[in-house]
This record gives sequence, C-alpha cells and structure tokens, in this order.
Amino acid sequence: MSFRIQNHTCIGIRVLFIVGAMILCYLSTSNVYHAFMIGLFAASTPLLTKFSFKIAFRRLMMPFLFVSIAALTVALELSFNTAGSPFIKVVFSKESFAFAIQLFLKSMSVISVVSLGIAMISISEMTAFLRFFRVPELLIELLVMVHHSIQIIGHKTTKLYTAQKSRMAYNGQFKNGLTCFSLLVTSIFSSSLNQIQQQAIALDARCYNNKLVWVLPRKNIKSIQLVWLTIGLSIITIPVFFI
Amino acid sequence: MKSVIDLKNVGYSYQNKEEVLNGLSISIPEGKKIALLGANGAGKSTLMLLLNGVLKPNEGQLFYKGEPYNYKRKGLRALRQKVGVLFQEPDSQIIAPTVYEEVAFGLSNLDFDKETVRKKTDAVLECFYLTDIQYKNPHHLSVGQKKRVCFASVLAMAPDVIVADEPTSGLDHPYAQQMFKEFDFLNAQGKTIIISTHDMNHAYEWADYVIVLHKGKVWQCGSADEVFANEAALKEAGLPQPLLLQLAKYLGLKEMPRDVESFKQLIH
Ligand SMILES: Nc1ncnc2c1ncn2[C@@H]1O[C@H](COP(=O)(O)OP(=O)(O)OP(=O)(O)O)[C@@H](O)[C@H]1O
Ligand SMILES: [Mg+2]
Repeated sequence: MSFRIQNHTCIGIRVLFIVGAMILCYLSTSNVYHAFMIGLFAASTPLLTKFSFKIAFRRLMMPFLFVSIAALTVALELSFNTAGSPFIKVVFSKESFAFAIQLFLKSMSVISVVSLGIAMISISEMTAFLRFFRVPELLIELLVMVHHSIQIIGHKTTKLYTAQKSRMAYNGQFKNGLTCFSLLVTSIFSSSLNQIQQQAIALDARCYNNKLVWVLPRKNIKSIQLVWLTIGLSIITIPVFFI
Repeated sequence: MKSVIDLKNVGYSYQNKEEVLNGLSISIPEGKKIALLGANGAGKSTLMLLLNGVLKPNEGQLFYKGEPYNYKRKGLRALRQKVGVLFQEPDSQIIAPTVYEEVAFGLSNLDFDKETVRKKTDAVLECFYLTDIQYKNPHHLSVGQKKRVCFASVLAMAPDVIVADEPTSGLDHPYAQQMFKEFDFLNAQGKTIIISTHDMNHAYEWADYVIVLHKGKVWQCGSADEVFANEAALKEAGLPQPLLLQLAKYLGLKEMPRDVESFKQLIH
C-alpha cells in the first residue's frame, strides 16, 4: 500500500525525527543513553543514506577530534608549582573526569544525530521547510549559496588532491608535502572562485530571479515506511524511561 | 534568408585586456542548424555567452529579430527565455541536489505553476532517459550524464534558439547520436540550433550553415559545402578538412559527398 503525501509533510516528518532525537540527547543525563544514541545513529547512517560506512565514519572524525580536545581540557587540571619541582603537575580529579566523559558523550551523540540529519535532508528540502516557516528569502538564498560553495570546494579539493597524488606528490618528505599542500590551497582558492562565478552566470542564463524555487518530485510514502518510522521513534524514546 | 540574431561590429575583451573578439559582424539565420568552428581559444564560448546576454559587448550591438539587446533586468529575462545556452562545463551549471530538481530549476523560474513544472519535467526526463537516475545527486554522475542533465534542464525551458557549447564532447557514440537526433527534432519544429564543436566530420555532415572564428573575427561563413571546400582558409584557421572531402578530392570525385552513404554510392 502506498499513498501520496505532501512534500512538506514528508520533510517535516524527517526534521521532527531528527530534532526530537536531538532534544532527547540534550535532556538525557545518562551516559549509557548517549552511548546508545551514538552507536545507533552512526550505524544507521549507511542504512538510511547513500553514504558508505567508511564515509559515514569519516564524517564523524573531524568533530570527534574537536570534542576530544575539549573533553581533555576539562578532564585535566594543571597545577603550577612555583617553589619546588616538578614545575607542572597534571591532576586528574574524579569529578572532572566524570564530567569530561559526560560532556564527550553528550556532544558526540548530538553530533551524530545532526550528521545523520544533514545526510538525510537535502538542501532544497531544507529550503522548502524554512520557507514553510516564513524564514526571510535572503537568509534562505544565503544558506543555499554557502552550502553550494562548500560543496564546490569539497569536490575541487578531492579532484585536485587526486591529480597531485597521481603525479607523485606527497612522497613522504616533509618539504615536498608542504610545497604540495600550499599549491593545493592556492589552486583550490582560485579555481573555486572561478567556478562560483561561472555558477552565477549559469544561474542568470536560466532566468534566475533571486528566488530559489525548487520543485521537488512527488513522493509516495509506503505504509511500511510509516512502520519503520514508528519503530525508529520508539527505539530512541523508550530507553529514556529505563536508563 | 531571415536572421534571428544579428551582430554588428561586436568587440569583447575579458577584464578589458586582450581583445577576444573584435569587429565581429554576422547574421545568424533563423531555423537553421549552425556549426561554430574555431581552434582552442578562438572565442567560441565567448561568442555563445554574448548571444545569451550573459556577457555584454564592449563595442557594437546585438539584435534579436531586429530589436537591439536590452541589458536591463526585464529585457535580459525575456531574451534568456528565447535564447537558451548549454555550457561547456557541466559542473558550472549544476546547482540542485537531485537530477529532478536540476531539470525543474529553469522551468520553475518561468512563472509556471508547480503542476505544469512537474508535467514538463517528467516529459523531459523521459525524453533524455534520465528517469532512472532522477533522484541521484548530479555531482555524482559521469561527465556524459551530467551533460545530458544540463541539456535537459535548458531544453525544458523551450527556447527558440538553442546555443550549445561542445554538446557532444564526453558523450559516448549512442548518446552523441541521440543528442544530434534531438537537435534535428528541435530544428524540425523551427528552432535555431547553434553548436560549437571540434568534430569537423560531424559538423560537415550535420550543419546547414557554418561559421569559422579566427583572430577574433568571422573568418568564413556560409553553407557547409562552401566553407569546407576552401581548404586554404580552413588551414589558416587551424582546422582540418572533413575526412570525406579529403577522400573525395583524392579520388577525384566530381560531386562532394555529405555523408558516408552518398560517398559509397559515388564511388560505385
Ligand atoms: N573568464 C575569462 N577571463 C579571462 N579570459 C578569458 C576567460 N574566458 C576565456 N578567456 C580568454 O578568451 C579567449 C577565448 O576563449 P573561449 O573560451 O571563448 O575560446 P573557445 O573558442 O571556446 O576555446 P575552446 O575550443 O578551447 O573551448 C581565450 O584566449 C581565453 O584565454
Ligand atoms: Mg569553448
């Protein structure tokens, strides 16, 4: 069985699911629940989106790094001893350690939810949703353009990096690596800028009117998908009452 | 011959440096299949952007059916509905996150209601065999597929004049044939098609009218037979003669064959 559903509703369901999961993560104080959410959302990224497990993992690496650094700074306390030696003492207090763990898990759980959200909701769907809530056009256009520029830069970077690699760049020597990297950065900058200009031209050529109107394809929702949604919602809410 | 676009003494240079086009004058005949030829850097892409009003000439004027180009907002909008342009680099045209939305993008700028946009989009997707990949991200397609998506997006807007910059580069043989068939079909409906290409053989077989650019000017223009017969002028512009013509000349044939079939008949 399948039935037609308004695009707004379709996007709305997904956004609500993500936002709901985010709120649950914020509210919960249980480490176990946070760890559970991290595992669940990281594991379901390859299932629900086009990303492979490897890429889904890589997407989480960057924030993981930052969050770990933040957690470490909270966990460690440095005390300076001006009189005797040792000069610096690293102190691990039990409370600060527990707090750091909690901070780490909570941040990571929110990040994994948001990361799935970004992967599941395309920029045009986001536009439709924002427009539904009467967000000013200028902000929407800005959002789309920024998103697009980031995408272009991302694509350019992978292409240029592969091109460099294929010409024996980054051969392990530090100096060579540095030169290649600085070349890469300048090249990305100029070519992305060029392409962003080209993009503006191409938009103009198709009668772009300073209002990004997307026409999304009509989607049919199958009843099985609603069942999955209910299962997903219960998986993330039920543990809250037990843990 | 009625002309659809006229250029009078058009000069253009990027950022006011070296002149890419200077004193270029030509009339684009209406309802013809036109091939724009020239070596790398001859200014083909630049000329195509001028036709669509994306670039404004530093000197001279362009006319659409006798009316001078109006570079005000409204005028450009009206012009771009009539003159659609397909870019050389598909990457620079793609903006939407899915193929479907990319094709619908041009249409939705044209004040149609959503249902009409959907209907037209579906028809165009079908026509270009894109239905299977309509939910894919266009950035993750092959170059040829991207080209087809871009072309579908321009054609969906139903322009009277179609300007396509190297439309078949990167397409495999069946899809290149398909693209040319599509051009023929559109041409039969009275639309003017202008393509730039480096494929002399195909240009010779396909085009009614040929324009050769060299040194920022129209080096040669006229019917395909006229232009391609002049070997010396072609050579100076850095272009080879089509293979069929070279063969026919070598064999000393009296008539010049336009395609392989007529060539076969001539030598029998
Ligand atoms: N955006 C730009 N800025 C500055 N100069 C440019 C720009 N685009 C093109 N040019 C210059 O204009 C000249 C003509 O370029 P154009 O792209 O029109 O050539 P083309 O005939 O399309 O060549 P190709 O066959 O390689 O596509 C070239 O010499 C090029 O250096
Ligand atoms: Mg070109």
